Amino acid sequence: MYKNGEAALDRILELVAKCPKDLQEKCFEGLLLGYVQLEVGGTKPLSTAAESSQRERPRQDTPATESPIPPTALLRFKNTAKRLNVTVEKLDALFDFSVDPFVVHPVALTGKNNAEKARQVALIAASRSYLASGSWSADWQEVKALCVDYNCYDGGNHAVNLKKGAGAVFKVVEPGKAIELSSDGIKEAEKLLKRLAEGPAE
Amino acid sequence: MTPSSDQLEAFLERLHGLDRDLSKLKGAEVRKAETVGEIKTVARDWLRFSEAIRSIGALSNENLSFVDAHLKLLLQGTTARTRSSAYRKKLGPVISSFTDNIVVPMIRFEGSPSQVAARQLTAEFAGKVSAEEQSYIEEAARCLAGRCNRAAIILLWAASMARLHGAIEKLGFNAYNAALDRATQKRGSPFNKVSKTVVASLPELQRCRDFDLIVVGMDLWRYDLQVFEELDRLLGTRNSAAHPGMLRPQALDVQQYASKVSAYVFDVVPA
Repeated sequence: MYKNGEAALDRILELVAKCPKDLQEKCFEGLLLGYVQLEVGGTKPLSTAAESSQRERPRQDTPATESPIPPTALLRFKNTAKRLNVTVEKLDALFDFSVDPFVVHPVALTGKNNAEKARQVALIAASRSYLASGSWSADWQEVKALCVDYNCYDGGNHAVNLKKGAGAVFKVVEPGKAIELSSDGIKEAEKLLKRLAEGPAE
Repeated sequence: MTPSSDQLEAFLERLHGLDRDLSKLKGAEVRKAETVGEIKTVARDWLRFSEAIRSIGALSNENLSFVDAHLKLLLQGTTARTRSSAYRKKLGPVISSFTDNIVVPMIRFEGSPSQVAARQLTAEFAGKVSAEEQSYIEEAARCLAGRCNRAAIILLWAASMARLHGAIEKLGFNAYNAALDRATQKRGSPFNKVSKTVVASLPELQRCRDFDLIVVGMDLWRYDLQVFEELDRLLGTRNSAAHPGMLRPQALDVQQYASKVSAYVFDVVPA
C-alpha cells in the first residue's frame, strides 16, 4: 500500500500550486482522497507521478464504461453474483444493457417440453425483474413474448402450462397478472441463473 | 381501446369459427341471417381493432392494411347475394397470416421491456391513487413506454403535487395557513426558506412553491425531516428533468423514482 506515495504526493502538490490560493486546500484534499481511494481500492499502484496523471484522465472521462450495469441495479448484481458464487462479469454477460431497460440475452433452455420451458422462461423473467427492480415477479406479457422467442408458446395451453408451477415455484398464477415466485421458486431461479452464468459444463 | 394479444387470439378463434360455418355450406349462397350478422360483426370489430393498433404504432401498417382490405371486402359482400366460397376466399389469406403478422408482433410489443416497465410503474400505485392522480400516473407510464423518461419523472411529481393539493383542500386552507405560520416561526433550514404566502383558495395554493408545501407538510401530516429530505431530493430530480442539462434518466431510474414517490408521498400523505 502507498508504494510511490512520495512521488504521487509531489505531483499532487505540483497540481495544487497551480490552483487559486483560496481553493488550494480543497484541491489538495480532493487529490489526496483520490489517490488514497485508488490505493485502497486495489487499483494498480501509481508508478510515477507522470503516469498517475495519464492514468487518471481516462478514468475520469469514462467512469460509466467500466460496467455496463445501470447504477440503480449494480448493487443487486454484485450481491446476486456473490450469493451465486459467480463473477459479476459472468452474470452481466447474460443481459443486454444496450437496451433500456436491459433484457435477457438468448439462452439455452433445458426443459423437456413446452410446459417446462415456459416455467423456466418465467423464472428468467422474474430474475431479470429482480435484478432490475428488486421484485421476484415475472410480467405475464413478458413471459408470453419470451415464450414466443424460445418457441415454447403454446397458445391455448400457455396458462395451463404455467399453472402447473403454481404452489411450487410460483405463488399464484392468474392469466394476465404478474407471476410472483415462491421461496422455492426464487431458489430455482437462482440455480438457473448460476447454471446459465457458468455456461455449459466442459 | 387497443386490443391485447389475448383479444387478438380470441378474434382469430372467431375467424376460424366463421370459416368452419361457411365451409359447411359447401359453396352455397349465405342466406342465414345469423352467419351474415357474424360476418358483419367480425369485419367491424377488426376495423375498430386495426384503428386502435395503428395509433400505438405497434404493428406494421402493411400487415394491418392487408387484413383491413380483406375484411372490408368481406363486409361489402354482405350487401349482395354472396356465396360462402367467395367469403372463404377472402377469409383464408387472413386466417393463414394472422398469427405471424398480427398476434406474434403484438405479443412481442406487449412483452417488450419498455412496456413491462410501464406496467410495473402503474402497478406500483395500484389502489393508492385517486382518479385525478391516476391520470398523471398513466401519462407517466405512457412516457416511460415511449422512452420519454424525463417527462415521466415530471408527471410522477405532478401526481405527488395533486395528492398534496387534494389533501390540503381536505384539511382546509385555515389548517394550512396555521401550519405555514408555525413553520415560518421555526429557525434554520429548511424553515427559513419558506415563503409566507397565505392561501385562501385552490388557485392560490397552485401558485405556491412545491418546496413550501413539502416543508409545511411536516406539520400537517407529521412526517419527519428525513422524509422531507427525501421529498426535497425528488423535487430536485423533477426540477433537473424539467430543465436543460446533462441528466439522462434511464427507465430503471424512473422506476426507482416512482417507488420513492409511492413510498414517501402516497403512503405518507392521506388522500
